[in-house]
Amino acid sequence: MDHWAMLHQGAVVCCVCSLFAGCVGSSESPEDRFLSRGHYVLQSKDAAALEGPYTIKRILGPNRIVIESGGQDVRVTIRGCRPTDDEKMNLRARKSIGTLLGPDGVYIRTDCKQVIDKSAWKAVVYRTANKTAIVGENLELEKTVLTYAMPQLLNLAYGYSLLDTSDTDYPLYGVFKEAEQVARRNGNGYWATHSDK
Amino acid sequence: MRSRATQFLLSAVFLLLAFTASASLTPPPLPEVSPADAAELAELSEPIDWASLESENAVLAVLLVPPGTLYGDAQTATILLVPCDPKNRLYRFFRVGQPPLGLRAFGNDYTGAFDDRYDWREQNYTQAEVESVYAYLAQRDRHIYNTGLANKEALREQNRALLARVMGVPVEVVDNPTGMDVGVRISAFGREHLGGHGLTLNPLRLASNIAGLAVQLAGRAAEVPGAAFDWGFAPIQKIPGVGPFEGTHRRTRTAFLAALAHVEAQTDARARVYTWMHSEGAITGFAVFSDLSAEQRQLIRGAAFGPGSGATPEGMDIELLALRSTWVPRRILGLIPLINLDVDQVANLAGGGIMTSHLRDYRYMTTESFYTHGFDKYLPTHVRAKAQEYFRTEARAFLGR
Repeated sequence: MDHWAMLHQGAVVCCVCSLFAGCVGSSESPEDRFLSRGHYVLQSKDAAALEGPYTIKRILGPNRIVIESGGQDVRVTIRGCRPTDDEKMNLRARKSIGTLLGPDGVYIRTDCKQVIDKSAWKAVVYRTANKTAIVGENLELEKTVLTYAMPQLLNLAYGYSLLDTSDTDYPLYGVFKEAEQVARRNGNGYWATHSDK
Repeated sequence: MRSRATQFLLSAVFLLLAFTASASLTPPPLPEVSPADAAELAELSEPIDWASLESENAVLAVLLVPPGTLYGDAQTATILLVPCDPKNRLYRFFRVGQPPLGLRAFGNDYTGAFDDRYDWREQNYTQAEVESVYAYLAQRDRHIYNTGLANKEALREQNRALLARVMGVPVEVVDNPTGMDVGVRISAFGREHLGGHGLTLNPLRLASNIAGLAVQLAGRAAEVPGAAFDWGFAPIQKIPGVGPFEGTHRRTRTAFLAALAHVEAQTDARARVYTWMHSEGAITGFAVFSDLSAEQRQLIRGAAFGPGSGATPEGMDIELLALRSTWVPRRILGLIPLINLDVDQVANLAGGGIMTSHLRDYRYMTTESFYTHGFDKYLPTHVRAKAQEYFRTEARAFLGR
């Protein structure tokens, strides 16, 4: 085999390796890979699992919001999450929960909703994400929601909230537990400075 | 002698035309008033701290106006007092007519209402409340306009300014010099550096004028291959791994990272980066978003207009919007590739295979216009509706009602 043929073969091998590396390699962080596996985003075809929209009135804390239901204020504890003892993490968690504040209101997952009394619920909460919109005659936006996103799962995967282990009896608990394990394993957020790995 | 007379006459006509043109561009002189005059002009809705006017800053005030006097049927008018002679306490007095919605957060650059298609009134809030909401939003949020393919700098700036005025807050345009700009710059060089000597009989200047005209025409002609280059270059950005090294992609990424850093530093949980992505700008924007973390992506809220919008990453708060012409039957337009306004097909081409199932749910707003894909076509409809939604949602949160 002459030198040119060897060079040619080498180049082909390099190209194939590069392409392969490009396909399998990813700059996505472990927590983003976890979120992209599902659960964080709910498709519209699964929207029957949600009820709403509810008007969100304010954010009380990293895991508490106030919504309006039937003309009455309801304090909702965001299930699965509890605040850390780190103010920086709590602020980030609060900002993430703040993404629920939008013109479209919030949605609550029916199989994870627990009514404590008429003014206090525990729930898994979604915001609207991808949408299409047309404009009506009075310039109002008529939206079709394509996906919904759940910021509380992001908070657990990024280590901004801790898993609430005192409340386990709902279908998504296992997912939340896995999200916190991702955060612990990768030293995200709170777990970057706490040795409880 | 005769030629001199002709030259004089032509120069006079030219000067007259130039003067008329400049006069038409110059705003009429603004009335100057003293505080005492202003107080006499109208009953003040609330006392103005006139001492504060002695600063160099302009001051906003709301006047209650007797109907049928200075301001037509309006009950109130917002005025802007700009110091022009602080020593003698003389101020320029802006605003005549009914108050439009807001000074739109432009502070002292108040220019008033601009178009009925874009302005509206909020009956539940006073003018001062509207101003305060916009001023707060301008400080808190960041808005980025991603332009489509084959733009000229002047058009980008025009669209940016219009978007900013409709939204009421500052908007940054992502710098994406295009092939078309090369032609524009060649034209400008011919106009400004070679020609532009006006009417002259000086042979050197005349020759320079002719050369300038030739270069201008060449520049105009170069816009066509420039546009073709833009169309040809766009697919390169879609090659996996190439995008991050491409100029527009890098500038877009830089702009978004800067905006996100600003928003992340805000304590208000409502702070967002708003993005207005048009056509190819949406493809670039979405390619950049794909590289951001999920946490960063959730702080972005926006709208994508027209083909290219289907590549949106899932879970982002993005609305897809499109216009469809009713001017020509769709079955005829559908026969023409790329111009057929069949968003699904065009977006599939433009998206280079990164389309998602979202396109099946793509919605259209029909319009009488033949060409529907210009960014300005979306402004009186979608953007105005978004601007209203933006203001009303944020005003409720900011003012508590």
